[in-house]
Amino acid sequence: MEERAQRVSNLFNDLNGWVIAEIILSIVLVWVFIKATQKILPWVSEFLPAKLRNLSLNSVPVLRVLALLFLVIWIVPLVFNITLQNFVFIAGAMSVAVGFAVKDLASSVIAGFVALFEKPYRLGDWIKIGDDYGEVVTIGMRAVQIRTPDDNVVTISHDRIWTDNVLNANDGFGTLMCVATFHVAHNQDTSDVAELLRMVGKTSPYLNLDRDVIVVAENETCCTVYKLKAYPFEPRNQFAFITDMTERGNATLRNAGIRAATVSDEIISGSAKSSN
Amino acid sequence: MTSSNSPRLPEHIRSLIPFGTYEWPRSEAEQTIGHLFEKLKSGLGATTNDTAIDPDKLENKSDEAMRAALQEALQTVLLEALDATYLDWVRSSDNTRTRRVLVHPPMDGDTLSAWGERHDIPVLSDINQLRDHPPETCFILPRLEVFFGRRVEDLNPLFNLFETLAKHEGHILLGCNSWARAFLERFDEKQFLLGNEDTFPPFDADALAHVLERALGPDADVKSVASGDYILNCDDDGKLADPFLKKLAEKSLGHPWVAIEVFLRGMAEAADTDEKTSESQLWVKLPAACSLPAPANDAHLFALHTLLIHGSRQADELSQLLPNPSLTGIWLSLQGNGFVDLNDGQVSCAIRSYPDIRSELGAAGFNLDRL
Repeated sequence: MEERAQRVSNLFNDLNGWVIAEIILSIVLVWVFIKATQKILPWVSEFLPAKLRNLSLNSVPVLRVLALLFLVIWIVPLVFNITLQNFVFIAGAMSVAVGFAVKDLASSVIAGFVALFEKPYRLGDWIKIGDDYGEVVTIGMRAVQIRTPDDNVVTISHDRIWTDNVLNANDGFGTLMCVATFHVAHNQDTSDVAELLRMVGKTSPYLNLDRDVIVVAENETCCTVYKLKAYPFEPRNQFAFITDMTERGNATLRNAGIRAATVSDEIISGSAKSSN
Repeated sequence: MTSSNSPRLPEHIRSLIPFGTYEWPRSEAEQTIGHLFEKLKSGLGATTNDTAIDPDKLENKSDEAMRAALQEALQTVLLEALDATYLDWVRSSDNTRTRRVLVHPPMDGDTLSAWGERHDIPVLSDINQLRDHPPETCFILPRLEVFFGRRVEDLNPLFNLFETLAKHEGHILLGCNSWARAFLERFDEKQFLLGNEDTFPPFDADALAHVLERALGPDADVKSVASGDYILNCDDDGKLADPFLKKLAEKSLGHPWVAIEVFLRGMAEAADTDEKTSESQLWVKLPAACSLPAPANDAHLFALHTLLIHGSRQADELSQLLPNPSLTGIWLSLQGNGFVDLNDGQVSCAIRSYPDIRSELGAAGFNLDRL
């Protein structure tokens, strides 16, 4: 019994008032540093172009992990008497605690650590996980927060990357592809439609002039579907860009005498019957 | 006063340079960050006390005669560069390069037209003149940007122009704004029909010193507010002793017409006669950066981008090309911030603010021009 008490007492260093003050001070300093980087770097990034903004934002989680690592490396030797025997003992005890009590939290934190290097999402990226699409605004230790187009902030646990596909629209780049879809009726001369739509894309004020404008046409049962694909110079303009291409595309096709696809009466009556 | 070994016309500005080889005095990132820093400084009301003369003892000086002299001196240098690049080609029967394009950032005057008139080369401005022109003779089309608007329905004149150009066999020299060129980059017709592109070389401190000295004379009494030294003085190695012109070249992005306007904007004279060593003594400093009203300035940025692509036009015409054409007062607002000039409804880019405009657009992620 006495031997066991002796082993436990060997595990810890003497915690006097100075050591406790040093630990508290270290925690406070690291906390201030993390909070400062979380506030200052996103603020600075708002003034920067998209490519520099991503660089600035991406440094936030990296700095946080570095700061926490520094804290652990600083504090652990102050509290514990690190020997191989003690290390095995502490690691074993922590494994049991993590395994039973906070395994979900641990899974999320580990996933967050993996995400930092695998980079399925970075701050400023536009991502879709499950049904949620939006801009990554915060990457925390446990979860990522995205702001949706409806201005809702959705918090998603990092461990979703183990099970779900993560769709990343810009993957760290300063632009992303936007698609405007047009349904054009069959049985009319549509040879110029693609070219007209390409011009619509090329003349949009939101267009990233460094990227190509592409039109893809596909025949469907009731119409021909044209997809106008282009990149805005600023990812945050994506909805204004799609709206601009759609509005001007509709007007251009109408002015050129191209008829839009309409839903036939048979289909309408068919769907009415099925709903009844 | 300037010393006798003042800089001569540097070799690198005697002719145009191929498009794509322009060496910017500062990179895009440096320019953007420098501009943000200047804005931050002026926003915080920071002033530097480290000046050779108390700025309060200076009053701004506007001198139209000096502006005219500087512009004339610069025009001479630019026309000589055009001579060196194009004159032999225009007079030759070289059929391998029948089209050449001068790409340039926004300018006040029309140097290419002036060059054409100087050498009796027809300068055409609309497509009807082009159609009537004999197909095997040379001509100049100084402003390609007037042939289109950034709307689907306004591209037809441009395609008609390209079609007509394709049938022409003689030499054609086109002028194109660098922002319009960036817009046309993705049009295949432009790639096929337009030929070799050239641009004006960047004017460094020595080149600007040459222009200033040509306009103001060898005894110009111009001192830097920051250092109190004569800006045109050279050291024993023949290099400019004061850094003012180097900073001016950097601030004006190497565009000499911008440098002249920035120079004139930062020009002042001593209010107190005790401070003057001569009646013609001038003091110069680099003026503070202009900035857009924060935070909701997207409309301003779109307006500026549109203006740069299309060049000087009527306000109503330009407004139709904006994402939100119904926005009234946008041009007046930009005029109030010093970004554009309005004259009888005609909007033009304020050349003195061009570096600030470019920085604002760059900071917002807009596609910038290339040279």
